[in-house]
Amino acid sequence: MKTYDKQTSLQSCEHNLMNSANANLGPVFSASKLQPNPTKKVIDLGIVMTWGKLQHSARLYHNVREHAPKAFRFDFVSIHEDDAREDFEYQPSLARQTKLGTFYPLSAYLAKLYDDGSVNRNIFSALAELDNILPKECPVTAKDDKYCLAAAKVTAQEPAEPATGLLASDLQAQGFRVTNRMPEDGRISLEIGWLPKPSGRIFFAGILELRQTPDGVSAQWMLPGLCGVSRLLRKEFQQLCTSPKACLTPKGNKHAFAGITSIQNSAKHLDVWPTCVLT
Amino acid sequence: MADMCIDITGRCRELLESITSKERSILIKSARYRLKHFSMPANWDEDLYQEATTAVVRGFEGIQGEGRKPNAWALQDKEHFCKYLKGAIRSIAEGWARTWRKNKQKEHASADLLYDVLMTPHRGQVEYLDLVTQLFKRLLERAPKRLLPTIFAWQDALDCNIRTVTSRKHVEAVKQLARKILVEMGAMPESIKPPAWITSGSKTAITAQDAMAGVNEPFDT
Repeated sequence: MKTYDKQTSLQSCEHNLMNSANANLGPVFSASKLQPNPTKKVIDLGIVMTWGKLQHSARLYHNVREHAPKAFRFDFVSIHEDDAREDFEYQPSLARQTKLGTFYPLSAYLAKLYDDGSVNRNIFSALAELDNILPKECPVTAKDDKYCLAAAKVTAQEPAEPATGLLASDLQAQGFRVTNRMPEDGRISLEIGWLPKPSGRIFFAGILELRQTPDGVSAQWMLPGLCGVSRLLRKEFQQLCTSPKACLTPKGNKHAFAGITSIQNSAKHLDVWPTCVLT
Repeated sequence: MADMCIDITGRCRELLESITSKERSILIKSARYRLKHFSMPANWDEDLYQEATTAVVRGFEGIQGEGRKPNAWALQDKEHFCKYLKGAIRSIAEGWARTWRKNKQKEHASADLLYDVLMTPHRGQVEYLDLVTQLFKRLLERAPKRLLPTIFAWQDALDCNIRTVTSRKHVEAVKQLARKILVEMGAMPESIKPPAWITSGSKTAITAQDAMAGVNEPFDT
């Protein structure tokens, strides 16, 4: 009975939202009929993103990498300038100018929509839906290298499944994982990613730099990072974890600092989440 | 001079092809650390390395204003060439990390006066409504059949954000035709400053008239 009541109240809440003047629903991604490609370097993905009482929509395109046309990453998904009139920050390296106008990275535009409050859907469910509907990730590999003869000898390595048990339980339950570890001069950089499902597409959240000092572990994000959903994911990560040093489990600490000696100077590390990041 | 260019091209290709697996993995590792420095994902390393080599190839293939051209110092031996490639990787990674703001760039690059004309604050006045009626009347008279679905969709939800019903190329064609009609009606000035990215670099500047003339031209770049 209780469940039923909860459902009813959720439905009525959703109904009210739909009918309120400032309903900011979405983003919702749906498959659509394929259209001719705008240019040879920008390919229609046959996906439409809709938001706000369904009056806003944007087609998604694949911004093709010139040296690796078969490669596909979430970062290569673009939208046309006419579908994104607002001002937002983006990386020009991920945009493409054509005679039909500029195609901007979807990730940067999504971050803008969330920052503005133009959409209110949980970012995790939006990304999970996007993961389902987008083509499978196909990274740039040595096989794409046309110039270096030695590249042909490089054996392709399957990306390893991110290890579990390294991040605090709340973070892990939400889908955050340590996707890469890079040691450098007494400090360690952990790449944090978010996976919608095990073995799924990895959405990059950021790089956490850790140092082991005599007082314990100190950590901070390497900023500013990419423009886009990684900023939203970092915000969610910070809400699930009180301070940077609390984000790793004892196993995670052991894994991170394997072969690293502690250092005296940790002046650069404040061990609090920066407040200026996500404004 | 031509011989010298051929020599540089040959030398460059020879050096690129002679990079061993070990040297390649060192360069890729350096790309990974560079990406980390700019807080970008490490798995973009292969992409970054290949973008650097592609830039060198484009440079010696002689595409005007594109690619990177190594100097004599970089071409003296493989060690120097690898150092040059490392520099290219560093430079490209920095470029990848750079950010722009969409509308700030637009302020300098906008040639879309259609937006200014149709988003006028006098919407709802008789003159504006007459302008819109005339615009769509002439559009429907002059547009080829393939553009009609796009025009109807635009008419239904009048906005400068013309929806893609059939193809993005059709949206651009409708825009160009609308601009042409608005110029003829005297609602829009004839000369439009070309965007900054068209005038700079290798691309030649185009006038608004040129842009308007090509309603039926293919748009593929």
